[in-house]
This record gives sequence, structure tokens and C-alpha cells, in this order.
Amino acid sequence: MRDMEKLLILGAGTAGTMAANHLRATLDQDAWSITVVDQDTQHRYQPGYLFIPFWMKPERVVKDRRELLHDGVDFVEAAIARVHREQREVELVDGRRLSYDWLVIASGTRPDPTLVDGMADGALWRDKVHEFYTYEGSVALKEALAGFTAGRILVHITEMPIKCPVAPLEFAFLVEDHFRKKGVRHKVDITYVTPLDGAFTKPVASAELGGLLKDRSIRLAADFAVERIDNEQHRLVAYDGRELPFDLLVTVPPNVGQQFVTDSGLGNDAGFVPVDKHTLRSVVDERIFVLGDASDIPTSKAGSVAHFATEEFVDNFVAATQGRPLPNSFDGHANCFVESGRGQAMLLDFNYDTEPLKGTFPVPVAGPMTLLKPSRVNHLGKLAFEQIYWKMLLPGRRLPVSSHMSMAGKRRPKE
Amino acid sequence: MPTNTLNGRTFEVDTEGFLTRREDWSEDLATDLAALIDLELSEDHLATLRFMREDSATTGVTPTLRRMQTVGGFDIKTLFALYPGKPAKKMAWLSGLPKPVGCV
Amino acid sequence: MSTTTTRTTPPEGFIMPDFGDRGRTPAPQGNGATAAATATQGTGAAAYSGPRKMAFICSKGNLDMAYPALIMGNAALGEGVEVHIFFTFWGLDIINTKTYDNLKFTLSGNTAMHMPDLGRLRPGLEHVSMPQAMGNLPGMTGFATRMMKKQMEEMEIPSIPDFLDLLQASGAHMYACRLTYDMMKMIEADLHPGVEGVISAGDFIDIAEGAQVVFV
Repeated sequence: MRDMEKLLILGAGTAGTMAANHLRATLDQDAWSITVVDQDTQHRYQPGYLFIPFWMKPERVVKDRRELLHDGVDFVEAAIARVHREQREVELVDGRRLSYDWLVIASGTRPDPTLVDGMADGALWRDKVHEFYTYEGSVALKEALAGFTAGRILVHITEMPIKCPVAPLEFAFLVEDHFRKKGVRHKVDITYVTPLDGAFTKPVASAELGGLLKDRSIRLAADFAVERIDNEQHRLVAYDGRELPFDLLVTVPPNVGQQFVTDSGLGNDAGFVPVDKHTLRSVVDERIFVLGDASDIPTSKAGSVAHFATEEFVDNFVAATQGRPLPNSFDGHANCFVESGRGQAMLLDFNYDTEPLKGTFPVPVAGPMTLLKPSRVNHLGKLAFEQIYWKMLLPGRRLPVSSHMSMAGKRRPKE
Repeated sequence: MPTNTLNGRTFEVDTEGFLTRREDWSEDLATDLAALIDLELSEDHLATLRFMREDSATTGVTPTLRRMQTVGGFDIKTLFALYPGKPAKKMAWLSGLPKPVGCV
Repeated sequence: MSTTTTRTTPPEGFIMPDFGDRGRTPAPQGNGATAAATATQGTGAAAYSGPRKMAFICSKGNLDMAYPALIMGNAALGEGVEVHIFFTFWGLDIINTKTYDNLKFTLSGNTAMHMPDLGRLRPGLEHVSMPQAMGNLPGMTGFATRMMKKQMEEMEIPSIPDFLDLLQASGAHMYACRLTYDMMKMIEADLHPGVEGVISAGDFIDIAEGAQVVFV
């Protein structure tokens, strides 16, 4: 009997879990072993981090990674030290080495608050300076919000790219709602601070979302390149000399790739792995594919991208192992629900070449969802997504949404 | 109608001193008038006066400050800087047009 | 006489408008010879000796009550007068970006409600006031507001938002009243950017020292 081919997946998050389950269903049980490595056993529903400060019970976003993986997928709980490409081995922090024939890197991105002067090392960290990109951060922010009744709030993005680029906007809308409902909105001054020149990266969405900020009486501080956080004066200081005072700073720290990616010489300066954006294959090693946020593809770092990309990836992977040309080309399709407060949400649908446009989704005119316009249906869609995520997405069931973006129902802006 | 004489030029004015005949105006006259209110006309000044002449030639009335901005593309703040105090009145006088009557 | 040197003082008998500059310079030198269209400054010994100032207090949020102060303030700015506008009570609606493009004009309580256009229907009708009860008809306020906006537009009077931009660019000083601002639970981010601050009535009285005060 010949040796089994070994597939090693680094990371059991959204992309890693989906890839493992999809491939387990595709690859021959007797010919392929699939092993997933992660540093802990807790799978977190990251879209939930946005809601924890407001209403979601923290424990609701956590499940055991092992229960989410199909039978026939092995799980190794260990932190990764580095990838040795020449030997096709992955070295773990505890010294063990796992060999592979094919490697999928799905290790995602992490917020690194140590990169900004006065953020993680400041006296105000987790006191008046908060983030909601980690479980701990989100829970701490919940407490901070509960005790906040008056003052200035800054909702701040340090730099792009970040995971889920609309999340800070959603937070701004939700926190606005939060204080309206408490009846103290007039005592709270909210400013959205971004390094971009508007509310979002793409023009049509930027105009719509910018209008919504104005509608909710949220100020916009654009082109703000943060230099440091002044912990004594409670100010956010930009390189151009602008200073914004705050009583509560909700920041999104710089998002970087995992340390082992950099240590293995696989990452760019931010720790993301350069890949061919249509095949997600490493540009330096044909035995390595990268799924989810860990790659450098020029689209949003979001679960929807991981989902669409993984569906394209499965066929490509099988073809690659058989030495055939890769059949599928990923178009960068992303699909984001944007909570806009007041029990409504907007929907963005876009890819590498098409910016988010207005219209209806997924069916022209009938919708039922509205693109780039707040509606109740979108909001319910966002809430329903939690169950879809656990029950359909991760197990690898196909959703009735094409992994390629469709122009049906979208309206191009008039020239 | 009374007349004014300045540096060898004689021109008809109304009781407040605004020119009454369009054709009496020249950029040289504007420069001489400006000296009386301590203004040295720069190219920026002249651009505003030329616009006022052209615009009034079609509309028949002295443009308001707001029109200077919306149609002429001049920033109102700049106009206040160029003609301190009473920009609309000064510009009308210097460009040989009637005193502005509109409120805005 | 050479014309190569430009003169900087008007010749004898020269008629020119009053630009307000000369009277305002600290010590007008003996310019007795210059001719007389320039009104001389009053010589009463007022405590205040700065430039002429006007202070407007806007306390109403009706469309027809918003314009007078804005128009007068703008005219004053055009005359080189320092202008301060204090918005209080419903006047805050004029500088609230959530409401300022939606101010209303209503017939109710306005007996001066007669329409020039009706004269074309039957001469004389243009001077007849509308019955007050008409103001209570549904849709009447919307109709009257649209009418007024149209008439203003024909006169090239800008909308309230544009007007505030204009005043801001012309250097008007605008303030919101602290007490009513708090009372109405306004949000600072909603104020027109030309508003310099939310200040108390006392602060405004200080600012208005020496000003002519106009209450609307």
C-alpha cells in the first residue's frame, strides 16, 4: 500500500474549517489524510464581536473547533513556529514537526495594538482605549459602554487593510443607536476617524455611507494618519498635527499576518502571503495555497471572501494535485452586511473589478435585499447569517449564492 | 448728472459717485480709482472686475457677491480679502457699474 | 501737471461713495478740504470705539421668520459692519442641519397672507387676506411653504443652507444659545459649521457690547 498523501491546513478558523470539510468530502479517504493545526480549540464567530458590546451574550460566539470539523479530519492543538518549505515540514512551537505534501495557510490576520505608540503600551488601554476585534476586547468594551453616559467617542481605524472594513462603521451606527435609546445621545459626541479620504474605500459606497454618517449626526474625520495616542491628554494625534480629544476611543489596531508567516519568509511587510489573486496559490511555492485573510489579495478581508474563494479553490486544488491546469479563477467576490443601526442593515456586493453599487440582491428588482440602502430585511439577513455560518458555511454546504459576483440587479452610477 | 475728473479723465457719475456710462470705464481708470481707496489692483482684482463687466453686460445688473461665487467661481472669503470692508460696493464702483441693489 | 504720479486722495469736488474705511481709521487727519458726500462720524462720546457692529437675535424657526435676520445680516456684512447672530429657541432650527432645509411657512396667525398672483384672477384680490381658517386645511402649510420658496428663488434669494454658507464665508459670527440648545437636546455635530460656538446669553451680551441689537 502506498503512502497517504498529506494535506496540512494551518488555522481552523472560517477558511481553514471550510477548506478541510470541503476537501474531506472531495478527496479519497484512503488516499488523503487531512490535518488541521490551530493554537487553541475555540472557534469564534467573529461577526458576533460587533454585537457583544451591545446585546450578544459573549459565550454565544464560541464553539469547539473539533466539533466543527468533519470525521476524517485530524486536529492538532499547537502553536506554529515556522514553515520549512524545502523539507515540506511545519515546525510547531513545542518542537514537533509535521510533514506535508500540500499546505494550505489559513491563519488569518490579527490586530496588533503594539504597532501604535501609546496604544497597547498606554495607561488607557482597556480603560478608555478599546477595540472589538478580539473576544477579550469586545467583552471589555461592553463594560466600558455600560458606564459611559456623556463625552466624546472616537471610532477609529488605524490603517488599512483591516479585517471586515465595514465593521468600524457598523460600530459607529450601533453605538449611535445605543445612546439614542438611552436618551443621552445629545451628551455624546461621536466622530468616525479614518485614514481614508471618506467613509469607505470605494466611491459609490463611500458617498452612501458618508451620507448615513451625516444622517446619524456622526462626524467624519478623514485622511487621519495616526501618529500616537496621547494617554495623558486623552488625545489622538495625527502626523499632520491634528489632535482629537476623546473620553472613549474605540480603535481598530493595525491588522497583520501571523508571526510564523513572517518568520518563515513567506509574508510581505505586513505578514500577508503574496499569492496569485485568481488562484490563491503562493507565488513562490506551488505546493502552498492561501485561503482567507492570510493572503494579500486586493479585496476585503472578510468571511464572505473566504467562503467564495474556498468554493473556487476546491476544484483548483484537486487539479493541482493531479498536475492539471487550474480550472477556476476567483474574482474577488465579497458580500457584506453593514449594520446601519435602527434595526436595519445595508448590503454590499462587489469584487476586484466592480465597486459596491446600488440595486437589489440577489434577484433584480424583487430583491429581497437592497444593496447600499438600509432595510429591515438586510438586518434580518445579517442575524440569520449566524445560523447559516455554523450550520451551512463551515460544514461546506453550498449556499444559493454564486461564488462569482453577478451584475444582475446592480445599477451603475450615471456618468 | 455730475461729473468727476481724475488724472485728466472726466466721467459722468451719479450722486454717490458711481459711473453712469458703461463706456467711460477702462482698466486704467479702475487702477486710478483704486488708488483713492488705498488699493493697488493685482491680477486677482482685475479678474473680478472683468467678470463683473462681462456678467453685467448680459444680465444688465451688478452681480451680487453670491453670484460672484456661484457663477464667477470666486471665493467669497477671497473677495473680502481683496476688498476689505465692503467688497460688493467697492467692486461695483471700481468696475464702473451701478451700486448693487440686491440683498444677497 | 503730470499724470505719471497717481494720486491717492480724491481731487477737489470729487464725488465718491462712502466705503466706511476713512471714518473708521483711528484718528482721521484733518481732511476738511475733501468733499462732502462722506458722512462724518457721530462725535458722541460712546464708550465703544471699534468698528460698527450689529447683533441679531433669531428666536423663530418659521421660514418667513428666518430670512429677515439673515438678509439684514448679510446686507450689514456687505456694508463692512461686524455681524453677530445669536440663535435661540426655535431659531436654533435655522442652524440645525437636520431641520434647516425644512423650515415651514404657515398661514395660521399670519393675517398678512395675501398673494400678488391673485390680482391676475380679479384685480384687487391681491390685497385681500386669506381667511385664517384656510391655514387649518390639510396640506396648506406645505403649499404655502412651497410658494414662498419659489418666490424667494425667483428673487435669487438662496435657500437657508446656502445662506448660512454665504454668511459664514462673508465672516458673520454665529452662535447657538446654550440654554435652549441643551433644552432641545441638540447634537453639536448637527450644527452648521459656520456656528462658532454654543454660548450663554450672558456671553452674547458681552460680545454685543456697542452693537445695535435686532431681535427677530
